Amino acid sequence: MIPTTQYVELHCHSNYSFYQGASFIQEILARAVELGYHALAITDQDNLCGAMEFAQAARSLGIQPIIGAEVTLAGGHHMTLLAETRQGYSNLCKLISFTRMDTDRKRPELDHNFIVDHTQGLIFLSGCPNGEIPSLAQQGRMSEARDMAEKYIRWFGSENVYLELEQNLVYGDTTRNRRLAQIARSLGIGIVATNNVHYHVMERHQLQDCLVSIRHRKSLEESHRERRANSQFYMKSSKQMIGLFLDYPEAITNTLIIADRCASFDLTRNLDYKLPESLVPDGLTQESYLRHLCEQSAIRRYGFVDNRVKARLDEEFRLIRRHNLTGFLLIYHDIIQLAREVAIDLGLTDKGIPIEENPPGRGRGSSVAMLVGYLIGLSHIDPLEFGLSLERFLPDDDMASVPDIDLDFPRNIRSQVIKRVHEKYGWEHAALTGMISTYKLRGAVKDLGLALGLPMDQVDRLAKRAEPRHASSLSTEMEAMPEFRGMTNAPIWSDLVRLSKELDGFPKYLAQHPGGMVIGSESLIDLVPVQPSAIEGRYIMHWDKNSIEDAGFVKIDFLSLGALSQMQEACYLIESRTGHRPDLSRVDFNDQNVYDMICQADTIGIFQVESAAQMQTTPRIRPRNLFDMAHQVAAVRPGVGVNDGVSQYIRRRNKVEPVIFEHPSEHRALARTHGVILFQDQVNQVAIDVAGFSPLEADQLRRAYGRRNNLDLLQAYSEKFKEGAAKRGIDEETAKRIFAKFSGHYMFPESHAFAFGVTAYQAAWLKLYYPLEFFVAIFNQQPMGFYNLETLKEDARRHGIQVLKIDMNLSWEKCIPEDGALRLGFLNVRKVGPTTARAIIESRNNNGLFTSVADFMKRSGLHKQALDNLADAGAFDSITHDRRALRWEIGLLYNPIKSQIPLSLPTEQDMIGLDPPSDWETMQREYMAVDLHTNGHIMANLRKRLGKSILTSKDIVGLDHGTKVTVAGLIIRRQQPLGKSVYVTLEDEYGHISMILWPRIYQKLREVFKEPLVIADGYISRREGTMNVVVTYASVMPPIQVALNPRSTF
Amino acid sequence: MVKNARKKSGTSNIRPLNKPLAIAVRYRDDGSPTTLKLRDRWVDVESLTDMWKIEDEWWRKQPIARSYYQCIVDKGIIVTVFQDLHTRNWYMQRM
Repeated sequence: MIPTTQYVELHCHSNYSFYQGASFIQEILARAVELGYHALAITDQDNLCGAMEFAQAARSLGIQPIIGAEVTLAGGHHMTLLAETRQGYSNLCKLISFTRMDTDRKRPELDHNFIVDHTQGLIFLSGCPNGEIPSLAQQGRMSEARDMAEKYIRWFGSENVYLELEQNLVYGDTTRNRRLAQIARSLGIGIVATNNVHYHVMERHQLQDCLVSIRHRKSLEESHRERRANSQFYMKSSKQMIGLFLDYPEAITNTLIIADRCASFDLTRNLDYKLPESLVPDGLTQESYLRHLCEQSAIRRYGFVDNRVKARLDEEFRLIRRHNLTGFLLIYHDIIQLAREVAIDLGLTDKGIPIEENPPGRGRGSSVAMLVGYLIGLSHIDPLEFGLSLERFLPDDDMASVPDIDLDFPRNIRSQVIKRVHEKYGWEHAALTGMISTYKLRGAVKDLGLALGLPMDQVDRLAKRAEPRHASSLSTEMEAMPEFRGMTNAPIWSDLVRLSKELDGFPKYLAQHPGGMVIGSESLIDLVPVQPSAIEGRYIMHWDKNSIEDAGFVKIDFLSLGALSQMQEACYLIESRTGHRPDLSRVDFNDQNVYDMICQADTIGIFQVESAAQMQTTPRIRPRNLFDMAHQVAAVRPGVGVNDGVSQYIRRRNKVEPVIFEHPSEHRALARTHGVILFQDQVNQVAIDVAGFSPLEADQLRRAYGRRNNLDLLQAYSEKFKEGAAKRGIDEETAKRIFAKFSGHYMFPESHAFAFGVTAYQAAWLKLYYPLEFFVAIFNQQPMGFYNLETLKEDARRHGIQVLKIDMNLSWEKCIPEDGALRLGFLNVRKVGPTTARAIIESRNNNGLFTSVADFMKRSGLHKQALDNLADAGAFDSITHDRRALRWEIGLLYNPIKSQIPLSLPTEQDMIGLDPPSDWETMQREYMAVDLHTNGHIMANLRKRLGKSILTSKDIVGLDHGTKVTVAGLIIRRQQPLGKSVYVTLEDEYGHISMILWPRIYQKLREVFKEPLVIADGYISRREGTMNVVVTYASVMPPIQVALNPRSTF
Repeated sequence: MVKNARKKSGTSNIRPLNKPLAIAVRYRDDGSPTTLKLRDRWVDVESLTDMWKIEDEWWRKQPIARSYYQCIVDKGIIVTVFQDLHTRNWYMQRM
């Protein structure tokens, strides 16, 4: 029998070769283990997106990972490069980075001139048939092929150049290999066999065909030339490869030699990442400077440094020293200073205001627990006042990785901060974290549907109506839809179902992480390839947050939070009106009026507590202080809900059921949350207290839940947990029950919940005391939050704020306060952009108010669609309320750009007697022009056609538990936490109706609840201060047909 | 008017080019041919100079899967044959 380790695959694409590779790294590695490989190279196309994931996973399986890439050269040819040394890896990162620096970002190509200085430590393989040398050889241009090979020998050295022989049983392979071997012999260089692997098993070739078709936006029928000839590009055994290369045994042997040469470089260990050092004033060390900054700020904040502050700072500095984080915190300080400069430039703060009084951003996550963070402006929470524990952020133990500090900024500050960080450190030293966009159900259906040549109208309907779930659930989704029921076994459709399952989770492209940035002391492109982002001036690295964490990079998150933009604008508007800017950090955090409002679920537009699920729980949790707010925002998280934690927490909090611990050792971690895990930190603490994990091990356990393909890892942790618990006298069953409380779903860290709870409270405070500015700001900051403008308008009305329509002489660019009401701005109108809006205002400022539609058209120069939309939005109602006549007049007056110069001719003679639009038509057109109807609600229009048995949101307020009702309205929210019951919010002209659909009912009615307007039967459910309609049946309300026939009723 | 000398175009005039011809083949366990029946006589395959595979149209009712062999027979004549991997039938593509 041939030993299985006689061959190593050195040319293998994972699915990080976007739209080419058809297998996950884990699948490739699992197959490599089956085939007995001791080493394996992954050579993805022009990227190293999967390199760290591959290296980590391969090491854990005992396989030597070889890091390489297939690089596209100018002209479209390919070459295969393998990193032999750390220097070679660095050169590989640089060459890949260069492929996108001077060319189209989406079509990477490497200029040959870059190669010559970046060959050290790299092994060159001549590449696939599309390589420069192989393609010349294939064409029989032997002399040119030899010259080309000599060029690469000069660049890389003869011992580092191998001509790559591929035998995929494609016509031409045999001849090309013979010629390449001949050239290699004549030049005294090596040959090496590879299989140009694109999938781990042969069966995956169909998906690979589809990926190629998708890449070229063609169907399979149309992509014959682009697709591969056969299914031979799978990972083969040594025996198979030896059989294919019987004439070239040294090509097989050389795979082992090359693998050996690459063995010394280990990506999981050899990166030597360092943060840059901050400049500190002469005479101070990094630590003494940081301490100085904190003490100065403490004096400003507290008036003096008392023993309590000093003791906390001493403790934090001891831990900062222990974890070597001084430089890390100073870098954050530098960044927050950059943000402050941005805020000053934007007029959002003043140089005279200390940073801690008006920080440009605010921290989230566990870092909020640090007094140092609070004092240098990283956070808005005083950890001393709220007794926040340092344990999760700065444990008195080794840390698995450097801690995350996430910074939230208003949108306008954030975009500028990212730009300034790039400018300050240079793109080689500062880049944004990558994020891999992956296939889910809708994308898989659309792309595979196109490839398979299915009717696109059906494909679009399926993609649109299917729940946004995993692509692997397509079969279930199709069975749930009447139109597609029974088609899962039909020809081609069955291929769609099968291939969607395979495609589920496949990487689509490298995107930008919402805000993570890495700064390095040495050039980042020595560590990982970096490429320009779609947004000019930004650069993205090829690794996602998991790879970055594995590499030990420090990721700084600059996140944009719409709520901060909203609050910032609201404070500005308040200052404009009253002359006094509220200091949100010093509002009364015990104001019971604010908590009353939150407890009544009057939370639309309020950060973190406005979702349907949050509105269901605020009346039950009834937060009365900031600690409760932290619990409130943390409770409605997938990681809590997955184990029925939310209900359990509420029942225990309200003393409906006793607090029970599985074991007394849980008490320390869970007592404050009634024995329920609400926070990430509690997972760590339980692991420490119950199973004796070290803080480092506990943190690794918690992180293990967030990793992909983690089943084996979690199983190992489960065993370790049970063993540790047993040593503490806890029996296996109890340990299992405790371990089962952990989940991979997202939960907040405690201090993060606290930070968000405070922000939620501040937003609620603004809504209660300054509703006008609150609503103006949220209108202007759209899109943000959970609700559309129509729902926000209705909520504003309930808070006494009237929303006024656009007016050509009263509106401004954005919404503004106007005599206690909210005046919509020109930007609210579709097809009116900032330039157009500014032109209207400038003309009005310079030449006075508009006197007629003709005057407006002449002076603004707007295009017809914008004019029609303005008319539909009511912008000219001050002239006439007959919007149909207005549009007729616009039609008469309108002269397209570049046409003849318009004459100011009268139009009266051409006006005809048109019926004015009905209320319904006016409303419809307003919705289309500005997404809301200022003079009422769609349900008010429809109500007259509804029978009297259909109740309003007002009618059901006082009804008893169990009362049967029929209600109707517009669906404004639909939420299905973790596939359990579905929460739907209906809106009518009087308010909202919260509805619950049990899973079985929802399964029957899900198509109905995809329509905008429904009529629902059900019964009233009252529980712990909440009221819902539990739906038993529902039907679609066809409003338009009804509106067109005034005599019809439901 | 000059009369059009060419035949009328139409689907009835379309004929496949280079249409494979069915052929009898004896072959080894690994699928490679050893003897071909050419013009009613069996000739030995002296050597195989190339082999390749094509697989396509797997989404259709009749997918394509073929193994091609370039054979040398009769001291230098090159014959290309293939086996249809679905029907197991052999065809001659070129001689």
